[in-house]
Amino acid sequence: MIELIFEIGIPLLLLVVTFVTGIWVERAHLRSLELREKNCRDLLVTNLRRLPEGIVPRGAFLCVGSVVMSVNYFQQFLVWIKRIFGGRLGTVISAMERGRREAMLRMIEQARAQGASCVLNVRLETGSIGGGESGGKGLCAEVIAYGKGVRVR
Amino acid sequence: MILANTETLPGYRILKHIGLVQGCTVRAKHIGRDIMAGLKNIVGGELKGYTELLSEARAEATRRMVEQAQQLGANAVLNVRLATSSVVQGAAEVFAYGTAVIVDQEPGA
Repeated sequence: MIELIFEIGIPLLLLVVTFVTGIWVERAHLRSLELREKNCRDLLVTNLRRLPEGIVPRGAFLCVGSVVMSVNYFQQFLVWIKRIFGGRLGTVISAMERGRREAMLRMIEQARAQGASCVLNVRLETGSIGGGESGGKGLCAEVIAYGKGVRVR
Repeated sequence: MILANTETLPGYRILKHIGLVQGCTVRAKHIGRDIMAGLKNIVGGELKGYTELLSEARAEATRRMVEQAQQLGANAVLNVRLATSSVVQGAAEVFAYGTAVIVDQEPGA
């Protein structure tokens, strides 16, 4: 009887708990992203290599931002079910989207701290650490954003 | 909406740089397709199910990027890059990003 409780009860409890915390964590992250993005509107961030005409550069340096995102127990369960039927994996999309915004923001914040007003030639890369090709159990991926911060006269 | 993977647009002049826009999606095929692909893998050749999966995903990622650009008032996205990664096994993540700009046709072009 006790074994049964452990085998079914604990995963069930985890599902319920992570369902709630998942929503909470996502909302908090989105709020923080929106707030920080508002402060970064004045910087020009582009993946073009050249400055817009009329802007005179004063110096440049590399800016990097990275973040490792994961999905929680409940969301992994959803992914597992969704894979049977196919289609869009909403929870993973949300995590990756937030990860990309977070990595970009960290890059932009670094650029700003060093006095840049433009970030040029931005690249976004993804690497999977768990799950995916590497075959790990959990589901996590790293997102890196890097670009050239330019100080402007 | 004009999409280009070049940094400039011949015949157009860039009036305003708006900034980076991006779109991403993660998609999976149903388990039957996964099994068929596994079988096909023994023989080799094209895995049609996965070709389809990726092209659908690419179209969706591009669409989302374009939507974001439209929201910001752009009429072109330059230097578009498409990248794929596998975050979940059997599912494909595709993301597209580019620089949203406002362009205007050059006089005489």
